[in-house]
Amino acid sequence: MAEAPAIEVSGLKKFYGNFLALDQVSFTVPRGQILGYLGPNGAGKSTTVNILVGLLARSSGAVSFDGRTYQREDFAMRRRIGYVPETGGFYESLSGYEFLQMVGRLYHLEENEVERKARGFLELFELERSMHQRLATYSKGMRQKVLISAALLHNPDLIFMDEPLTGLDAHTALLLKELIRQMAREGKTVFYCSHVLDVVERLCDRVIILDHGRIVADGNLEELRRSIPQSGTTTLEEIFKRLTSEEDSGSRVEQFTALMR
Amino acid sequence: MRTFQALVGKIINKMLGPIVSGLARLGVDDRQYRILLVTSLRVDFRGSAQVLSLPRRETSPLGTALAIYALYSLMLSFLAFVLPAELYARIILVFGMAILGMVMLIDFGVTLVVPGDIGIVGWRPVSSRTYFAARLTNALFYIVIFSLALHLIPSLFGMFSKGSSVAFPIVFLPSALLGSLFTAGVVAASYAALLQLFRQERFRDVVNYFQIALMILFVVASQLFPRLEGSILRGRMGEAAGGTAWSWWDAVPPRWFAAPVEMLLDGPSARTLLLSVAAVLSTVALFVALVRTLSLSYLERIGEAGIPSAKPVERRSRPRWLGPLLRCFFRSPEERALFDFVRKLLARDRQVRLRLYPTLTFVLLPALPLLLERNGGSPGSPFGGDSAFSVFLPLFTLGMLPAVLLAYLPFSGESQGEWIFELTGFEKPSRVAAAIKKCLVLYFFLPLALAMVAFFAFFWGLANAAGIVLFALLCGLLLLEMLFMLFFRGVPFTRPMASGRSAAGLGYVLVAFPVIGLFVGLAHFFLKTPGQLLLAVLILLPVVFLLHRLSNARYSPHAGPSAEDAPVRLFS
Repeated sequence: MAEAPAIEVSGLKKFYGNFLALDQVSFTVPRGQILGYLGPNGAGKSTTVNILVGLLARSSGAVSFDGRTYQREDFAMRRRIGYVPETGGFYESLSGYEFLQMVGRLYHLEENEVERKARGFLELFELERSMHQRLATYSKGMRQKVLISAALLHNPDLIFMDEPLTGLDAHTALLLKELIRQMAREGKTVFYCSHVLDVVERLCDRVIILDHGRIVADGNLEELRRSIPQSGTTTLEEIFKRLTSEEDSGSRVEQFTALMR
Repeated sequence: MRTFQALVGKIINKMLGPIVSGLARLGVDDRQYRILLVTSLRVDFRGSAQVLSLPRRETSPLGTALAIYALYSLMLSFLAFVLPAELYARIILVFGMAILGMVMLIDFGVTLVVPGDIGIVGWRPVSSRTYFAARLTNALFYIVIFSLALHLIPSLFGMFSKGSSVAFPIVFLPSALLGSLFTAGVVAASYAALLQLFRQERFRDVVNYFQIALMILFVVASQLFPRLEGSILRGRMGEAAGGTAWSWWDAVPPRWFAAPVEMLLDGPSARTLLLSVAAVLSTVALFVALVRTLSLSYLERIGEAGIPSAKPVERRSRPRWLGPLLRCFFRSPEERALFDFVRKLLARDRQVRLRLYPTLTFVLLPALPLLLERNGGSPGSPFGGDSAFSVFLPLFTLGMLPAVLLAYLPFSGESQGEWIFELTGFEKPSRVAAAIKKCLVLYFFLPLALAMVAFFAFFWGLANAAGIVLFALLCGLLLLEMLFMLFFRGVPFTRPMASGRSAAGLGYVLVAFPVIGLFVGLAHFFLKTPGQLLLAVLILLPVVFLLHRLSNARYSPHAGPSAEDAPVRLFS
């Protein structure tokens, strides 16, 4: 019998009042795959992730992990999820160490394990000198390192990342990309939401492009190239532009500079 | 210091023990509950520390609030020397329960609905019940310490009231604490029920109306019940003051919590015994019901409440004549920008709406029972024998207004936008000060003054009503200028609201009563004729104008250096 996909989404719809944010979104992600989830601003990427991790209720459709329908109160399943949110997601008055300590305890990790992991993550991210400072004093990149640590501390196997490279320096970004590849090799599934097309192109095994709440492309880079016949497009950026952009960006740049004067 | 903190931590842990085991029986995850509770308290305490570090002179909002409530309770405690012990206990309980209900509404009720938490715990394996229990305990922690600040001194003074006993504090204090928890539980249950009934944008609107309605109830109760208890005591209501006789008034919760004191003073009776049991059982049942039923799907509902509305902001077209008028009133672009900013946040910011507007009812309502009580609905004659009473009504409302407005003006849920003012700076800070005050005058003082002129014109004629209200308006503006000059720094709505801040604001309003009393006293002695009123107005007018210029010149739009870099110490 074939193995159930790690993530299966079918007919997902989400309304905010009368506004349809997601329209019949369906896809499956096999175990160990890194899926790039792309789309312009307001396409519905974060809404999808928020529904998948259980932060938002769906209007209709179904979500299952490893063939098991996901319910909000399914705590065994929740323990398997790791999530790096795009913004916020921590208490600014706590120190980096205290925040990770709190997260570890929420997952019922043993005290010595909480300490070992919290210290370990912060040291590996080179935050050992500021681990007892308030998060409010951290730079954007330092906060991002804490958020990534808080998502991975409990060793999840379904990892959702919304713009995880935001604010990270080049070295840490390289480290994180390698870490993501390693996690995938170990059989963890990574759902990677981003605007940074070249990173997605190099990192992800497969790409889904969302526009106005609907999936407009789904496949690996080669399949996406083939889906646009006689276009001569070679990069993900060109494919993305062809599928989602309506205007020539050159003329808009001119309009911007005129407006600034 | 660390040893002391460890000791405090141990005491809290010890106290939490029985609560945690009780909650675990209701399906709460004990370890997660402890973590969430300790984290929320840490965040509150350190949040307060950050707020206090902005303007250097300011002290902790929580400490200030507790000191103010203790002071207020001291003023109430002197009733012990004029009232019999039973009536004293009931009156203190009514005031205490009403004030703590207000505190829970405007300050700690908001801690029950924190959409920002959803991004942190909403996707982790934490049940709604566990999260709700931790949030509720957080709010109750503050209610208990506020209740102690409000009831400790009166409980000691109670020993000296007529017919009292040395055991009065031992019975009164636990009863008062239980009553406070009951009131907080009622507010929490109402929030939880509203969350179940209404979704998203509708919930936010309904909560606002609900808070104002409940605030009215608490204000009216705090004014009405002590008067009724007094009437009952004097035999006007044809009912016994206590003892064994049943009364319809026994259905009112403060009576249940006063019953143990009655039992102490008069000996046990079926009535006092049953009322005491009702007090204990109703409180326990309320909290069990809260955790067992209303907490379900709480996290999900809060998550939905945090979703911003996709509806475009309503834009009302401004009448054509208003534009030139506003340009005349707010002459520079800086003034107009600040005016628009203050105006929009007053209308839209959720924290401002949830905290400022309910407290305004506290300014508008207390004068009404007095009006009904004294002259059967008539405000008396402005220049007759009861001139102080006539002047009191407009003076109380317009005089208390600046205390409320300035107590809440610095804080909002939009404080993260503060950087824009730091970045742009202000060429002329005095214009910013002028714009802030003009906005308050335009939106609060003038409409209220006009409404009062229309109301009092029925009783006194238009000229007298306009004169008295103008005098009250000038007194209000005088207080506004003084408070603005002495206490107000920084741009409005640019500082985060720490726990205890709203309660402190309400406390300032409570202790502002004596200042209003001073003005009323002066009016009683020096406002006997229309000529004297005219003279008072002519004196006040230049004084207000001079203070306005002076406070504008002294105003600093920068609140002070931030001390976020301070090492973590509190609750470590």
